[in-house]
Amino acid sequence: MESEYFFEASHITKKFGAVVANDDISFGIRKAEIVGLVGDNGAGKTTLVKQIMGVERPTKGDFYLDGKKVEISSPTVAKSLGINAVYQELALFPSLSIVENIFAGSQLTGPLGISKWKIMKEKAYEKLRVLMKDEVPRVDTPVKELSGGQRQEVAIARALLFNVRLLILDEPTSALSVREREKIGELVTALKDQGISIIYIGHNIEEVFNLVDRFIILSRGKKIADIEKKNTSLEEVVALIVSGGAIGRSHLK
Amino acid sequence: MGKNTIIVEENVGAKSRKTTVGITKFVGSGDFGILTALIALIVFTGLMNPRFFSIYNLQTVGQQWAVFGILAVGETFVIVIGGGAIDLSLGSITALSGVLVALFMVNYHIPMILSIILVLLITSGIGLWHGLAMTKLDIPPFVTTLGTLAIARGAASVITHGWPIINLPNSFLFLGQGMILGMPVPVILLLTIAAVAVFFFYYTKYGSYFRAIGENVKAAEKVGIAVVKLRTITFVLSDFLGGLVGIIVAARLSQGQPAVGTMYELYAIAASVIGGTALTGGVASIFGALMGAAIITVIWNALVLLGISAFWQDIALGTVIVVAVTFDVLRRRKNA
Repeated sequence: MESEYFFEASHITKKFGAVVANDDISFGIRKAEIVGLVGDNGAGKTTLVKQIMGVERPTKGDFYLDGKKVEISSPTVAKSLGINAVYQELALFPSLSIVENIFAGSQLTGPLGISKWKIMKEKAYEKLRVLMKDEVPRVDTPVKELSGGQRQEVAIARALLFNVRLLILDEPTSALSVREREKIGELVTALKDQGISIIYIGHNIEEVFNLVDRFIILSRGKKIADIEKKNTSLEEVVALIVSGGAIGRSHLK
Repeated sequence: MGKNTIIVEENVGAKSRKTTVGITKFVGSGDFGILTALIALIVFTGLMNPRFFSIYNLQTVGQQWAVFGILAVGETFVIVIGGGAIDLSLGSITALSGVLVALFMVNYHIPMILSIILVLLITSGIGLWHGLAMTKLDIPPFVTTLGTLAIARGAASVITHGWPIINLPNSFLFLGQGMILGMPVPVILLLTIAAVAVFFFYYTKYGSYFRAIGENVKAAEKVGIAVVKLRTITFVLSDFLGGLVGIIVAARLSQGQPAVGTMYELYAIAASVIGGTALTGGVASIFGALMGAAIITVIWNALVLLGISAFWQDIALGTVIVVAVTFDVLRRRKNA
């Protein structure tokens, strides 16, 4: 029988010496679904994301895409599979221009590695125009001259550059104003409408609750719950996070 | 026809606007500041002693500029990748390279071209060690290149027993003493290397990635930039250029001399920093490094022309470095 999930993590375990950062975590992601990945600090969210993105390799466990096992050995491999991430600290380079940031690690080049700046500038502008709608800065502007929201949009534009199927947003609103947060929320919904699946990591549970279809809750490296939003409440999600699964419907995992 | 004319006019207009924007950008940049400083220094030196502008002196200045300039380009590639990357071995590699190329040609009768290739392979190999030590073993480049500073200098002395190796073939001397249309061959080599470096730094993805690594190495890893490979390559490039300078210096002095190149690494670092390279990495200018090397060369030449003791040269250089770095730190703090 064909799985309802296009992306699956199976028994992912990641150890750093004696520390078990992820302990036997399994889950799946459906097409055009927004999944909230939540948990306290140190729950293992960022480690899990790094493995999905190929920055770290699991100690044990596998990832599957369209039912086939995939070895995500580097961020470049992840991107080629249609998986990309926007990190909490945005992973931007302030002195580099917008176009250099958007194409960092994936520049379009000709022979001898010659950069195709003209095409890249056009593509960068196109992506930003869709995201920013109102005012798009010149794409050769250094990122350090942009506002927090604009930087976020540059980071998202980079993640959307290639045909992305699964987008991971790690604390995308932590450094933003209220208006900018709303804008990110609208953007996430728009991406879902385009058929893109999203793993959304956030500390503001109320904000996450409004956006997502499902919650995966981690605590101390373990998955303690996997709940559809329609079957739970904000209070229960908070209770699960705070208690580490001791309170709430931990049988749902 | 009329439509075509309008298009042409529009294109010309766009081009001239672009040129104006380019010039304005350059005038406001650090590169312009450093160029102005260099011109002021040249004018001052020329006024104090008009012999500065004699053909012979300009050729001498050119030869020395080539030495500092090539080393500064290599040093800039290393410093820009950040993470404390620095190459303190360039002066000693210059000495070792000059001694080895002389040894191969004079003592072992290896043909000139093959000797040069062998020496460049050896110094590139030293660069590979520096790069892998930083990226794979996490040893600070300060330590490994400081080690090479001592080892390469020592090796040059051990090989020669402290004496220069002379009787180098005449065809080899052309690399250091030859002129093409009145221009010293080392200057032509410098300009060629500078052109390749500018191409590499600004027109290929590597320049952008080097700066990205220098600015935020964790982010560079996350976006899939090959940090280990690129960091290693910069050290190979730097020490390859150090080897080339050693060959040029040996050809200029007509001997493999174990004592040459003392403090050259400091001149290279100073040229790079004066030229706008941040010691913390991420920001660099090849043009600036060349201008920085020119400033150091002109100061060095001016002290000679003005009859000031050679002992003052190190004091002058040290002062220039401290002032340049201080200005750089203050400027960045202001911009932050």
